[in-house]
Amino acid sequence: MNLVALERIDVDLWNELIARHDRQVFLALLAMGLPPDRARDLAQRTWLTLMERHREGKLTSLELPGLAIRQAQFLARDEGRQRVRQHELQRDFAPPEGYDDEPRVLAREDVRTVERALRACAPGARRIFLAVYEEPTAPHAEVARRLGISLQHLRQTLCDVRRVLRAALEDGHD
Amino acid sequence: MTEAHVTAEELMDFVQGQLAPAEERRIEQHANACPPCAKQLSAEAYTELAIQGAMVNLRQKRARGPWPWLGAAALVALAGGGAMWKVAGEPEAIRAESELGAATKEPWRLLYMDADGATRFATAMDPAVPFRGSPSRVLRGEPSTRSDGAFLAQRFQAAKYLGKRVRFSAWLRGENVTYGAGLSVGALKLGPRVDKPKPRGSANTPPEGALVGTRDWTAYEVTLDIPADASTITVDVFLNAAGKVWIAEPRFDVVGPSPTQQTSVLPGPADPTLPDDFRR
Repeated sequence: MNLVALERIDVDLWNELIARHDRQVFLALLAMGLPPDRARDLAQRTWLTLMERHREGKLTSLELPGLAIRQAQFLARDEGRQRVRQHELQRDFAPPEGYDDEPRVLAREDVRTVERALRACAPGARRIFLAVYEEPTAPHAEVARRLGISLQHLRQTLCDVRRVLRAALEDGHD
Repeated sequence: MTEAHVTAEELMDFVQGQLAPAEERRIEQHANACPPCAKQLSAEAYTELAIQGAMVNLRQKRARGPWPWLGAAALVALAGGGAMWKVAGEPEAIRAESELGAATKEPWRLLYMDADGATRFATAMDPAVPFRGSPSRVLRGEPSTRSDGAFLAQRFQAAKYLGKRVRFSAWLRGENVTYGAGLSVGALKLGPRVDKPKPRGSANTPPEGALVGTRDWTAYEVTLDIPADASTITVDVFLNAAGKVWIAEPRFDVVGPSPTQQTSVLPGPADPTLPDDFRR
């Protein structure tokens, strides 16, 4: 959580906040099923909207990345409505292309699913996986060196664990 | 698509931010043009968010601190309030005219964001929840794992409103609304091809002001400057995900000339007539 004092935000701090949190906003939009270009575009619009609201004194608090993610998801839904409106003008009620998949936002239960699946992994694999996610921005090579294992071993383990976690999530949605 | 599909390892590196910008861009470009890879990327992004959530929980358990961003951000709690769009009291009707009355003969249409929306969303008049003595209309969304929504929409010709600032307002009441309900007004331009309308601006209840959870009757409004080349105006009451939202006294008013456009047309008189569909 990053609760920012509104009065001390200037352009430099905005840039820093965007650099720190933009990836999570982008991922949240990708997770909703948006193609990368639209996700990038919406993430950018999200930050511009927040900056404008801040400039107008309309932000009562700024909790990041939560507020930015909510704003982005809201914009994505608004874009969806816009498309449906346009589509509706065509007198055709089939959903427009790109909005027939299930848009997803992260569910608390899915976080628990990942926790359970992670606990069920072999201790060695879990240790490597957790080491990577302790510092998610650190290059894998650096984490492997610190753990005293090969980069290949680290990446293979990471792939395997992620596959298990993703399968657990998909099972949960069946 | 002749280019090779993105590998699982590349997807992992992408969502973890391990790739160089050029490589990242290559994968984005591929996914933009390749639906199967876009779907894989979306699933990996979701997995990554869930992992990050689990890691946050793990750190929380270690530190015994408060629930972090994930609880608020990715789940439900859109903040209430939002003074910039919510008005206390009745929408001002002075120098206004109502479009949502006799001029609009079309009934409100229930539209969905998702193909099977008809199975989860419904609307009806609700005499059990009156507003100032008249029945309100309820829009209901069943709980679902999906996060889409539905909206009640009307549209009408824009000709009378070109160059004017218009306001769409209504009273809303909510019960267990998960991801927010609110109002939207938009302008569209029909080009030479009627099947390719172009958006010409819209205004929506913002997320920080959306109706979330359970809330008694509250006045909402959104305003929009209608551009000179618009041909159609749409208004809608939206409900994201699940819950119930009751709607009463929807109005569409001219509040004055658009400050961004030249116009000499004065707004007409007030006409608070509700659309027939809201009366039945």
